[in-house]
Amino acid sequence: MSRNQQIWLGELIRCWKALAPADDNTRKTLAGLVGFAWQPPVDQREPEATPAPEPELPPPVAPSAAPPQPMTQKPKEPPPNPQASELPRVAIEEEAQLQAAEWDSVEVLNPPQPHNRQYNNLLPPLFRPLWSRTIVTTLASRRLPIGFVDAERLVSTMAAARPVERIPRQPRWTTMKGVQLLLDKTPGMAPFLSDQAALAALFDDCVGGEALERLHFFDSPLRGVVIGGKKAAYRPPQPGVPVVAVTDLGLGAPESHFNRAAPGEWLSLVQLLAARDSTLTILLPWPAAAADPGLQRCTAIVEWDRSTSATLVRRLLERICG
Amino acid sequence: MANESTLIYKSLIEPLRSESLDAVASEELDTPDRRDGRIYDYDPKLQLAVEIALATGRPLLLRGDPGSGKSSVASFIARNLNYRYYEAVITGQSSAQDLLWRYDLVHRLADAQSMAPGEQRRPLSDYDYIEPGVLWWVFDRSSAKARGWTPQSAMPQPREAAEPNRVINETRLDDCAVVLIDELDKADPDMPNALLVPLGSMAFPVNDIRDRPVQVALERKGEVKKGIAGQEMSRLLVVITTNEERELPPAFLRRCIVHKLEHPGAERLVRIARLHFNRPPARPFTDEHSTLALAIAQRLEKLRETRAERRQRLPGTAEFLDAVRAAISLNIEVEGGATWDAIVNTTLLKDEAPV
Repeated sequence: MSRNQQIWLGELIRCWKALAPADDNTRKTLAGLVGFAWQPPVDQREPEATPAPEPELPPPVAPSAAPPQPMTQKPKEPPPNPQASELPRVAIEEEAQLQAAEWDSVEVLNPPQPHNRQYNNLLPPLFRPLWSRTIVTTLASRRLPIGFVDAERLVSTMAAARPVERIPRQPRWTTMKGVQLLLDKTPGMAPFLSDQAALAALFDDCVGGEALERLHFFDSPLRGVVIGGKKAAYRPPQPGVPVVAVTDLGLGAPESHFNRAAPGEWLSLVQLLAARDSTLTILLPWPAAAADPGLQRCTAIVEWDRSTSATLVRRLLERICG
Repeated sequence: MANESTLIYKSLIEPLRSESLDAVASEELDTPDRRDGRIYDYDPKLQLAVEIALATGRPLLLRGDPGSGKSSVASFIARNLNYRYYEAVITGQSSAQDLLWRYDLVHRLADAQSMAPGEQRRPLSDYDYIEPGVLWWVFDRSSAKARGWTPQSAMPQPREAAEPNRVINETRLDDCAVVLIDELDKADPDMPNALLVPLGSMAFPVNDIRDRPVQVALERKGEVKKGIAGQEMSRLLVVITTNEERELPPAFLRRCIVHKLEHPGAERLVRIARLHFNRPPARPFTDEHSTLALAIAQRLEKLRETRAERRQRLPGTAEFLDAVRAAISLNIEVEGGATWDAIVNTTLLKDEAPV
């Protein structure tokens, strides 16, 4: 049981004690709301002999066909106290119910997730799994002047007796603009198709479905994109919306692939976006040094690799965003 | 507590109840997304989720489609429990700081600049420029009113801060509160993580006051709050809603009691319509109104099925109430030709292509 699950366990015990669920349905619902799948404990006590009618003996079974034993065995009960039957049984039964809940064997539900997506691939993911959410959020973020009032700039403006035309604000990294995600489907990217799908789902989760525009392309977005299975001309996003292209820039394509995009096409895309106050980030499953030097200068080329961290991505973005 | 869904437990609170709306109630109260907390139709599982949140002191995270009634739950609970009620609607520009306090730097600068030449310079006090956020009001109302000032402070006492929702809160329990943090998924991912500590420890420091350290913590007065069966319960309920436009961080989710508001079926929709529109004796919800509401509810169900297959936006309870209200007000009959179609198109489908 992980440390985080112990937080849930504490909550479960606390609300179990406070609300004292009286039946299995309530117990199951209550446990589910805290994050557990609760199963009623198997009663292993010997049935009381006197009131029950003579049961029919079950047919003999082979030892191997015996039902599997539960994971935890109760200790053997001590011999019954002859005076015990005279005592009120209510408190004892409640205590027994609490003890019967074998907390350690309770199955933990999946963490509640809206879409319950599975990111599992057969191959290990290209980003470190624990870092991937932060990296994707950083990739989709841009620095906008929406933070606190920039007192230093404000004071310096006023000290210089210049009019304050606009309250200066400190920049803040935000995903509020959304993101346009361009996914390269050329043969060179074939080994990364499942990674692309997982990455796109992660963008969806981190940025939000409505704020994410997902387009597919072959070789270069400027040659057209695929939207809903139909080819269409590429349209840049709204001004200021960052663009992330997941592509190998033609580096991984076979030699017979003659249609690979020239660096000039990517530079044209960068210029097109820059005219609309947008920036291009390239997620490259190759070393960044293999990309065209001109492209390296004017875009952030992020290596799709385990060595990449959110700090590195932010540093690259700061370089191109200013 | 026993009910139709056979959830049997030792309840902390009385069953949540709606009030009957009187005929002279002003019309503005009767909006589908009402926040006065007077009416709400809920399933027993929601009450259990509320009780678990109160028993554990954890935030209650409500998931569900837009228009499913998530935002109306908090005020309904607050009214039933007689707790104070605050709300904060989150946008893409919101930060965790907004929920704690804001420092009005521009106001301070203006005050510093506005002193006339020769006027005796008085020291500006940070307390005057502190605006408490909803969590400050929730944790410690008296400290929020005083903007963190105490008699031990060296600076003069500031003017009293304006309490949100003051008129209603003055009539509620002083040391108990419900706060709604609405549409948290709109915020950047940093925000939920930044709220983990204040919501977990029920405390935060106010760093902008240089006079003396100010620590806001959950106000504890007198005895522990007890439930109806004598169990301990929290004085504070944090209700968070998400439209699930983006995923909340797992660390945040694990600290919440999570409940999904499912879309109500046709029968429950009619019940909801009755709650909203029954104003006896002047404007009762008649059998004809029930038939009308049922027809709209059935239409809504069909639309939801069709649109779910096409992965289109699903109309919900809010759209249903709009349609019923329009049909009642405009006296439109079920399947009544072009007018009926107009109702469906404008209230249920909005501006999207009809199915």
